[in-house]
Amino acid sequence: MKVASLAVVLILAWAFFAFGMFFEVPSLHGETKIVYQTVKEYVNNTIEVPVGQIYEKNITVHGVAVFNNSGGGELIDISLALRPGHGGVLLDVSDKTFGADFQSTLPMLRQYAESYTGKNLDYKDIIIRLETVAETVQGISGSAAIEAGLIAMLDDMKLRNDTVITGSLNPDGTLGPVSALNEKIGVAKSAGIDYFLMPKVECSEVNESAAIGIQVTCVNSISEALARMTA
Amino acid sequence: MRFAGHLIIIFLLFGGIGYFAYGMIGGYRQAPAPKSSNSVSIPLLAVGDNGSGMVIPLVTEIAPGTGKVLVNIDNPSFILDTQESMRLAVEEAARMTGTNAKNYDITFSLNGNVTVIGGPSAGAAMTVSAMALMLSKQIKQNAAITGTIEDGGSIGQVGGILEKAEAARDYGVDLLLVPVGEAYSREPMENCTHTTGKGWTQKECTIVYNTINVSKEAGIAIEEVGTISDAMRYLLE
Repeated sequence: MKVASLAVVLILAWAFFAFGMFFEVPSLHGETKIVYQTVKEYVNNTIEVPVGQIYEKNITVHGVAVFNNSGGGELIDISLALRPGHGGVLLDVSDKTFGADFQSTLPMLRQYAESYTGKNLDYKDIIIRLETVAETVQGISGSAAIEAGLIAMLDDMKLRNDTVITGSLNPDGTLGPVSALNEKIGVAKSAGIDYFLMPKVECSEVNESAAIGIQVTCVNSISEALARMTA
Repeated sequence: MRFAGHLIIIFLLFGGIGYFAYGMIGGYRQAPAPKSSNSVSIPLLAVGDNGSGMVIPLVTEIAPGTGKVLVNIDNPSFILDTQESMRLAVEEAARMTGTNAKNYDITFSLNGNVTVIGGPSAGAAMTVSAMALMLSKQIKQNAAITGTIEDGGSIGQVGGILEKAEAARDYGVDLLLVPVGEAYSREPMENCTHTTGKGWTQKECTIVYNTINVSKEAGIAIEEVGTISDAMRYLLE
């Protein structure tokens, strides 16, 4: 009897030990196990993989751009995606060239998204792609839109399709000024956007005539903007 | 004796739970290292503002994707016209390996202590890296290449070969591939004689090209390559 109970306890102890040793337990750590699909497998697999399955998460957020030369502009789609990686911010240069000012804001946007959502991105890469007819992308006025998209993607929020935001971003999450504000409002209006969010610091610069037919709202911070951008 | 037995069991049990708990909080979890077959590394050679050569390690990764050419911005380097070379590098690599680039994302990361990276002279290195990944091959250690990538896969000339070769040698590179015609660097030397007569001065000059053997000067093996396929013969493992 004693021997039997001794054996049971021993086996239990061993089982605990083995369980701890041989299995990766998910997780109080907040990280899911990272699975790489090896390239070799992928080469052999000739079937086209649907976009949604390639990345862990993705989201599209609207931005509004004004062309330097013509004064016209367009609504651009900013596609963001998340994949296992090494804490990078990856910019798609396959058909666009990005100016140094645009690039310079990106590490800050990643850091702010991390601190806002409380999610650790050390083992993730963020992928940024811009859908626009322009070949060169410059300026920092898309920062607020990218930041809102990042946060919405990380926290699985849905963004409204009828709202657009313009603004640069300060490290504390408040929105900073942009150029060609009234032109941007006009571009958004002609693209059928109903709600235009802009930095509070530039509130006084909106022309009365530009804001007819579109609801222009001044927001102070990215959290205030997100409240209006999420459905 | 019985007491000792229980003690051992208790130790075993608690040891196991402790180890288990350690695992739960992620204690023995290791940071995911990039899979070797999915990334390659090659030293890029550049010339700094002060005119001396420098080495910037380039890590190129391949992953299932949608045909993106990605550049990692998460370090304090701004990449300027080099974006153009990256695009062309991936296009040419896909064409030469017969890969459908639409199925992959290629990522370039430049890990140097430099703030601005510009110029097309890394094009060949980027193309070779992308090709190696598409073929699931590795690039030889201790080899480097400098040269632009041109439409059709030829390698175009670049400047500062001697400075680059010296930087490469200091970095531990054994073999440097350079564009055709650049294994020897030519420096013009002007030899002038002045003849003065009544009311006139005649200056007669001859230009002599001082040819420098870069390989001898820098103390590094150098091969000239005209095309990417040439380069691949030297660089693939």
